[in-house]
Amino acid sequence: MTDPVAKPAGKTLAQKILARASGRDAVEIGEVVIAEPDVFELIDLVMPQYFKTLEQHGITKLRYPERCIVFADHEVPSHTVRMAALKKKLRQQMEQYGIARFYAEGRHGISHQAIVEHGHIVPGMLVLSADTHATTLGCVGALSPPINYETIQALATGDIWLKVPQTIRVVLQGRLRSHVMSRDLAQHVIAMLGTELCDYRVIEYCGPGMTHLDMDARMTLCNVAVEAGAKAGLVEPDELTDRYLKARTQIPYELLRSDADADFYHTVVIDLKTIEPMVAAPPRPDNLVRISTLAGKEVNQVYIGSCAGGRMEDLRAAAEVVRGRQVHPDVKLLVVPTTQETYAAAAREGLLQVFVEAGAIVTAPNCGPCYGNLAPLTDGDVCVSTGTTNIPGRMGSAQAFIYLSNAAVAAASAVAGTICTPDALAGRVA
Amino acid sequence: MNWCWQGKAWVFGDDVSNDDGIMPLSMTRQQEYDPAVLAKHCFEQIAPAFAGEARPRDMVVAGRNFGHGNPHIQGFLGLKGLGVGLVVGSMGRGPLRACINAGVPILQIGDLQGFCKTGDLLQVDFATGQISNQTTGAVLQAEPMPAAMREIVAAGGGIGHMVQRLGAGNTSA
Repeated sequence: MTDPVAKPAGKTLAQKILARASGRDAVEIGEVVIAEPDVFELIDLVMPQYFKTLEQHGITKLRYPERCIVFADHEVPSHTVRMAALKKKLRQQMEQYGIARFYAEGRHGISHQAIVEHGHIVPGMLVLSADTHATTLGCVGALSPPINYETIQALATGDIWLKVPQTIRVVLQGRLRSHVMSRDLAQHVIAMLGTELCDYRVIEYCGPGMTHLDMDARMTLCNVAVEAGAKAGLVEPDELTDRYLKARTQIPYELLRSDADADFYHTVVIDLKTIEPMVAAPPRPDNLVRISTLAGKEVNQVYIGSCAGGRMEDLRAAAEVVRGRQVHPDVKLLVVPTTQETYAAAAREGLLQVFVEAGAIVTAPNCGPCYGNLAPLTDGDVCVSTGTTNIPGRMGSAQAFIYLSNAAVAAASAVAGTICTPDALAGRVA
Repeated sequence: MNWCWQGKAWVFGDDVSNDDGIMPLSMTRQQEYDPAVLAKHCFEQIAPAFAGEARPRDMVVAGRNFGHGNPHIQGFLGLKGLGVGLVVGSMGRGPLRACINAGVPILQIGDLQGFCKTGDLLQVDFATGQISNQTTGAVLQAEPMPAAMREIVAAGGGIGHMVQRLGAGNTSA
């Protein structure tokens, strides 16, 4: 006979990661721990200022420079002399602070995807990042809460205070229907759970439905989680994770998971075949509306890219829609592959040719349009975007309107000049 | 540090975003980090008079989900530059960390509907959580600011706290 009271409760994946990172056998949900990250994910946009701040305060050494990886991503290549000069200085600063790993312009990509592609992240890691959408790294079972400006202190001290979060478990069953994308699922989940529920909690994806969701899809699920205020997104590592990582990393790892009897705050079960493409209308990413309600809405810019929507899944879906068609004459279509690896893969598959022949602008990987410093929107512009958020001002003017959608809907809207689905476009052409 | 502040209330509603709510996103694009510069742009798009008229120890009073969206530090450094405090219905994890890191004291109280209007004189004790409206006599009790967060704010924010923690230990090669 076992005594149910004496039985130790299982632990969530987040608990296991934070216990190890704080040098403890176990940690309880809700307690505050001082944890040391395995990796610092850093970006060239902010690091010049962060190094300067450290220097101004007399901090001449980082605690763990060997754990730092820097990516060029926010403005690649530089648009101004000022930015080019900052980036030139950055190389000196990195040398001064002993940081050797730098994915410079040309070998770069948006950090949250590139760092995974290059095999730096494995299940069970704690990663601290200077950029908000670092929750993406949960795609391989790493806990990656964004800490933004606090990165300065964490670099100096080598640690940070973190509250052990509660976990919301999202169990996926079945399979997405054709023309339904991971972005649709990700948006559905944040809208269904809502910011009050997601705040300070981890959204953990698992279940038999994960079998059909590849690493691109998993990145999207974890990326979008932060838009609902989640501390992190996680995907339960599985055989697909193992296959993906084996080809990319030499770092030893185990497929660390939550225990079945862990203390989950909330569990939801989703049948994937019930998910349908929706659009998030301004002013917030969880403001989902049916595409049919926006029929006829004129569009003058479409953006397919960002750490939320410029992966092969997105580029293939968009190319399928625009192949043999032309972008509407009143629309500017921007296609920005998320990383150099994606860019090269899209070139090999002939996708870039499809976009260019349709009248799209294809540019090198960068965060630009989703950050408002490349092809900025002006007053009154209407943009369909696979970017991260539709908060007013995000892509330029605060008087512009951003509608978030999957890449196929974005591409169809670029061709039609109005917000529409690929099916509606096909019907119109026929 | 004296945690009991007295100042004028500046009342905002629910869902004030961080980018282009508290602070124009252009300040982040420009990588501006100087609190004195950022102070001049606080709430520029939604309350243009605020930055010119707010005084140190005034209180920004807002509803639920204050500072939502991307938790860029610029908005909170701007509030720090003005020397104001925050009393809000609720605030998410990202902006809360940014707020404390910038060194801005905050209380979260849930429902603030009708407690005060812009111009009322407030007394707010961040250590005890007591909020009183000296204009109307109304009183509210919030959870106090946790000691660990007060320690960071008292040091002037996360960077000041770091310097205290490290002392001179890390400063020479």
